[in-house]
Amino acid sequence: MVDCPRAQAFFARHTAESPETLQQSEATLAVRIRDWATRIKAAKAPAVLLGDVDVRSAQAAMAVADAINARVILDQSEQATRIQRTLARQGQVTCTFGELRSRADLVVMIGDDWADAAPRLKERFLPVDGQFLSQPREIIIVEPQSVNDLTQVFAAVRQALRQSDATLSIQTLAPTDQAIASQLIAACRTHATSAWLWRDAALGETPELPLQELLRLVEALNMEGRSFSLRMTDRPGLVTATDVCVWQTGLAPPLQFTSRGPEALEQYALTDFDLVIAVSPLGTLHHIAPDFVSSDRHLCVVPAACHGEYDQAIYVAVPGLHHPAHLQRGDGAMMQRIVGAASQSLPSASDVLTQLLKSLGR
Amino acid sequence: MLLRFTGGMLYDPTQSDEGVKRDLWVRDGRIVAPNPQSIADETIDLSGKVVMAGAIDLHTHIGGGKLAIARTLLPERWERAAIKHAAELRAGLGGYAPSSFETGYQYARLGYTACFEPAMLAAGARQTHFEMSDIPIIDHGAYVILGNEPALLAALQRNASRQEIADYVAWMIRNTGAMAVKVVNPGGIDAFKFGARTLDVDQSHPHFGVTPRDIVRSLTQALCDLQVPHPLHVHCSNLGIPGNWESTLATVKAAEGRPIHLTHVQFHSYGTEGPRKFSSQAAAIAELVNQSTNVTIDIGQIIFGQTVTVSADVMHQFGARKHAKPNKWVCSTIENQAGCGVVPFKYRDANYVHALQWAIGLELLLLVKDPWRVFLTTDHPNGGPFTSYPHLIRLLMDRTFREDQLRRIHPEAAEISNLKGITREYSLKEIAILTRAAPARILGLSDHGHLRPGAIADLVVYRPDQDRERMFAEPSAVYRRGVEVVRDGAILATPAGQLHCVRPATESREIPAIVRELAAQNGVRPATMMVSTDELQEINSAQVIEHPCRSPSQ
Repeated sequence: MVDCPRAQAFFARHTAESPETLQQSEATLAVRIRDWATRIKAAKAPAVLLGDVDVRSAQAAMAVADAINARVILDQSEQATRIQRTLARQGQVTCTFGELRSRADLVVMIGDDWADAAPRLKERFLPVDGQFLSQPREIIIVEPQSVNDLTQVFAAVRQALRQSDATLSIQTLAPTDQAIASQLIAACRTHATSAWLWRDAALGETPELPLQELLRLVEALNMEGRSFSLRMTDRPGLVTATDVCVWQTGLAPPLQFTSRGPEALEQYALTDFDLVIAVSPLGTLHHIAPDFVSSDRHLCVVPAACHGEYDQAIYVAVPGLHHPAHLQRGDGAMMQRIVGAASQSLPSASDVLTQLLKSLGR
Repeated sequence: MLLRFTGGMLYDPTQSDEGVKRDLWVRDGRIVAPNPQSIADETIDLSGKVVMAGAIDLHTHIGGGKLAIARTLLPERWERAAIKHAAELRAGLGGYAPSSFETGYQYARLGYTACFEPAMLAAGARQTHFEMSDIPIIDHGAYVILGNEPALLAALQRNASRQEIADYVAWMIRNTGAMAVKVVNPGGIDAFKFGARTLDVDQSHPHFGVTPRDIVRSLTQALCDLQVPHPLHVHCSNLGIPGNWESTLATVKAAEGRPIHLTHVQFHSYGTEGPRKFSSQAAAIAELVNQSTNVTIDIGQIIFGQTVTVSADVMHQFGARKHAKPNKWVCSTIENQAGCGVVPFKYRDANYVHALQWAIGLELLLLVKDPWRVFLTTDHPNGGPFTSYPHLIRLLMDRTFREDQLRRIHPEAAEISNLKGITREYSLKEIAILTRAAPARILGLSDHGHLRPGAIADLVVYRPDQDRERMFAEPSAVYRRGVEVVRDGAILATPAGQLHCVRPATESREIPAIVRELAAQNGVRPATMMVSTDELQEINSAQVIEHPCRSPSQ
């Protein structure tokens, strides 16, 4: 049923189950949950690995973690790029629109489709009739969807600003990315004061954006005597698993943050734990878990829906179902096949975790 | 099950009960009329104890994105305030920005059974409701912030009809699950995005041309038309600026006699007299309240110590960033709606300004004659944490203690303050008004805040103690809907709180034009901004209570 080699390998290596078994009867699920409860009670160092799940699943996962004194490791991915809280952790502050309006002579807008998504914001900066603008400015719009590798573009810009010949830094870029890199380099050399606006769109609409590389770029620009500011704006109303964890714990342990990827998870030493309860969309599990959970450790996999997209009315957990836009991502094809096979019969992650909590005697 | 609470000394201002010994009968979570034929299934002896209805905090920041930012900004707090989980209790964080579960536990331990988040952005309504649903025991609700949306300001600029504004306000209240409407620095938040750093009541917005007066007038009018119980909840212009008392007076006049609630008014009662050009105008504001029956206020009392300030008033917070302690802050404008500023702050009694702020709050509480129109708040966590309420109550009830505290603050502040000449001491009955009966009435919670038949059986039992701080900090028992949830500080049960909201009716079933414009500016469909009744029910595992809209006088 599932013809994705990576997904098959994942389930074969770490759960000894195939996706098909996840959609068996409730009785089978109950048996599995009892088995999980037994393993969890025996665990000395459990962890909950929490991905981009819906609010209810996050709440249920946190309840399980609380009950068993587990460390919670947030696999944030897109959430790591969310506005002020990320910048605060980085020791950065955001600029305001008022400041941008009166100071910035260069505005770099990053994020797809500003005109449709935030016409009001764009109106403030594009010289439609000049009424909002206190001075002439250059606007550069970077659409990540049309850029092959934004990380490399930012890195190239940073490198180019420290050398005289920009072509050296951009020649390794994909041909399609060289144009935008050249434009950014020229603008950064021309202007002393700029603002970088980042539209952190709803999950699934925008590829993962390299915040760290952008921060490095901006810091490098400021070190050279320019005045560059970061401003992020996001689609209002998105509630993430991160939000749930922050309001429930107040950011106290056992909560830890990470961002998606092998290096990030490794630094939190997932291998220190003898049992991991992974609550995450299927599409992320194949990406993170196989590389960090050795085969002699227990892994309970609770597939969950992502936190969703309101426009499509997918908000509360729809088992295994992901927003179509999410499927456009790199792992979309694989996810689509799994979801297509499993979405109708999976219980919701919050239900599974609630049952698990009961089995633990809580 | 029929419960009989016997022997307690009841304080119910709605019945003029002041220490009256009378049995309370409770069935199915509500107080019922006594019946001579009734036989109680259980009798609870409260002899020698003071009994009041559950307390209500009508202005406390307990949910929404601003708190998440504050918690994330200050991760070092956990080193001092982390709380491990216990049997039936969740782990979390205490201190001045407690986590959701801890918020519920701490409020319940103080005898509070209902709390209201006063600053819910429409864009953040879903998150606010989710977060509040994670606060156990206490009922909750939220006020939606309006008055800085470009769509609304544009409508006011083109002289949109009264009906159009009312339709918009009704839609926003209904579709965010709100209990009331709050306006923060009317027009000022949006003006800030255009480079303005102040916006007084009669000053025009740099782009839309409308004034804060226009906004307050329109919103108070709309809420009257819609018969929303709670008046417009106003965070006035020029918060924290010396001389802002005149802005506060002008804001009241902008309501043109319609009901208006001035929030954390301590921060809006400053004059410019004296060598430091910072003085108290509490007496003038109190006199305004005494003279104007359409005006209610809550205080926003400050408490000395570390806290974190969170506000949609990014204009003010941007100015306050220079005083951040520790030195980090977040200011953010939220496109098409409002803003958010998070600035950690430490109030010090040796600081002249802070000391005078402390005195001004107390002056207001003591100079407003009618306890039905003034409410005890710290604007948690902005003035200080809500856990300081017992201390504040002692300051109000114990003149000797108050004067002792006055002697400890900055001497010039103590000298310039009117506090030293005020002899008033609150009675227990007045405290019951201040913290129970009055907030219930101003919010339209007809079955809260009193002990008459029909009321919900939220009861707080205190041991009489001349040390009022100790008395109110340690209730001997707290009952929610007749079930004991706290005994001697220990949490016994953690039922889910109920969500309170209002659903004003409108004639039109169409989506108002201002809503459509707002949605277009946000790049979403109007439906995206809605939190439907079904969703509210799902978010809140307990019942959602929809209160009827009617005028406050009713």
